[in-house]
Parts: sequence; structure tokens; C-alpha cells
Amino acid sequence: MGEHGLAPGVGIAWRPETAWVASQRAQLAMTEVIAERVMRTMQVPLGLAPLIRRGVPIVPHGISLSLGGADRPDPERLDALSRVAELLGAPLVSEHICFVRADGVDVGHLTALPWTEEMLAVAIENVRIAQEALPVPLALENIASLFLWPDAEMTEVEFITRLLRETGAQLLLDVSNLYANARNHGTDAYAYIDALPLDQVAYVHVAGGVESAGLYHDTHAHLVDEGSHRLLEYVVASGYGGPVILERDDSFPDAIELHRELDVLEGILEEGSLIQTPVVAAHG
Amino acid sequence: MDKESEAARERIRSQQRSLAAGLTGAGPIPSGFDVESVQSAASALRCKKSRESERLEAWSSGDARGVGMGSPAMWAVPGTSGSWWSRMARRWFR
Repeated sequence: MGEHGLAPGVGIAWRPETAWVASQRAQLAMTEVIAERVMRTMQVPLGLAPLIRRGVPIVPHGISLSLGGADRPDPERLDALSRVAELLGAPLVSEHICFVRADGVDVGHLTALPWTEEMLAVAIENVRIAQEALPVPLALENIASLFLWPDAEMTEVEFITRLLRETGAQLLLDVSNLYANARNHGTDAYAYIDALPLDQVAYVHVAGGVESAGLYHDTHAHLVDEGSHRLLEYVVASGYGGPVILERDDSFPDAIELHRELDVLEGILEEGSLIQTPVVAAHG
Repeated sequence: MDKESEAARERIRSQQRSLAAGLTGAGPIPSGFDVESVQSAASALRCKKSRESERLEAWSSGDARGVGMGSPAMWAVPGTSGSWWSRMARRWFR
């Protein structure tokens, strides 16, 4: 079990549509809930309460702090996120390495950052402000993006690694976002994983996507691609031993299908733990 | 706050504002970006917002299952009414 009380195993991101599967799952390592949805009532959603009673760790997953924005994090949003964390007894909270607002305009999407020294300095300051305000540790997630900013001064993984090192934040590693970016931008996902401080990974996200018009879209509405499974295997073989969460946000399949997806992830965790040395993976 | 840090934030604000405008259709795609990729992202964003709008309509009309939003009761506060739910849904997904 890691320093934040998260045990190895499989979980599912809690949504009203996945609540039944989460409640049925005998072994549920953890779950997460969209923090902003809980903020609106500041009450535990009814379907989530049984998991709290079971002692399942619940992580509020923020989508609106805009930690990569030009503005410093909004104190009111941080206060609300703190109260959600306390309400749920959360061991940590998670957010994204992105911006969602620019000069007061809400983009409505997790939007990529420029990988520059200037951006890194601003992100470090923003993350530190958030950490000081939050009652629990913060984990930061890598996002998927269909485009890249021009004039990058470093790679994404260098940006993230330095951000983690400077702030001490944990990483929420989304292997499916990593997979999507590798497919769309031709980057080497395995080299990316090799460069990460895996001991700072709090937990891992896996989700489905689909290819459309030559681009791979991280939809959270399709089955998990085999490419994401392979990356998860590599992460586990490289020494990661924490929880893995399945995310699904749309076109929900029936419970049997969701259980099947979770079973596959469980198999990867179990098989991966038997691998003594990292697998030699085909890069690219 | 030192002036250099504030100047950096201003530059980033300007860059992000331009990109946000390009993504939301409020302005051109900033120079230097791969136009096709940003257009794909803008298109995906429009689809996402459209789906959210459909969900809101369906949810407000009580047809939550039709768009895969499950039971609103899972999110409900005990003792509140459907009209309360509709009001909250409109606020949340605006």
C-alpha cells in the first residue's frame, strides 16, 4: 500500500451508470468521482455512500482548477475541492496538467499546454498554491490532445517530470491518454514511461477510444484499446504496483461488459506482478 | 510578485486566449499551430458540447436512460423533487 493508503488492484471511476458495477465488485481497490459534481450539493451522492461504508478509498477528480492557466488557482474552487476531499475522507485529490479557462473564457475542455520554460514556471507556482490550500496530497494527470503547441522547448515527459520534481506532486498516469498522443503525434510511449518517476505514480487511468478520420480520439465511450493494455503491462512490468482505474463516461455498456473490462485489467496486474524483469517492448 | 513572473503570465494569457478563441470558433487558429489538428480538436469540442446539451434536454425531460446518463436519483438529494433536479441540471450543464 502506498503512502496515500491506495492498495494495488482495480477500480472504476464512479459515475451514476457505473455505480452498480462498483457496488458489485468484491475487490475494489479505489474509485474516483468528478469533484465538481459533488461540489454542487456538497453531499455524498447516494450511490457512492455504500462504497464509503465499505472503506473504499474515493478520490475527488477535479476538472476545473486550470492549473496550467495564466491565472493563479481560484481560492473558492480550491476551498470547494478541499471540502469535497474532507466530505469523502479522500486520501488525495487529482487534477489535470492543462488549462480550461483563458482570460475568463471557459474552453469547455482539458486543453494542452505549451511545453516551455515559462509555462513550466507558472504551472509550478499554480500547483504549489493548490497544494498549500488542499488538506490532502495532489496528483496530476497527463492529458490527451489532438494538437501540439508550436515552439516547444522540451518534451511533454520532461515538462511533467520537472513539474513533479519541483512540487512533490504525485502523478495520475493515464496510459490511454499517453497511447492516444503516441498514435496521433508519433511519440514513443515506452520511452515516455521509462522517463517517468514511477515511484511518484499515485494511480493509473485506463479508458477506451476510437480512431476517426486518421486520429485516435480518447472518448471514454468505447472499449479499451489493446494498445492501452500493452502500455499498462509495460508500466506494471517496470515496477508500478498501485491501483488502476477504468474510466467510462459515455455509451455505457451493460454490467457484464464493464466487469469484463475490469477483469482484463486485473489480469494484467496479476500477470505483471509475476514478471521479474521489464519486458522488451516494441517501441513506437 | 515579481514583474518577470507577472509578465510571463500575461504572455501565457494572451497565447491561451488566442488558442481558446480558435478552438471555440470565436477567432482564427493562431499561427504556428497545425491547422488540421486544431480544427479536429475544435470539432471534437463541438460534438462534446452538443452531447452535453442533449443530455441536459433528456435529463430535464426525465428521459435520462435514453442518453446514457443513468438514474438522476443516483445524484439526488433525499427529499428533493424532480423540478429541483431539473433546475440543478440546467445550472450544472450550462
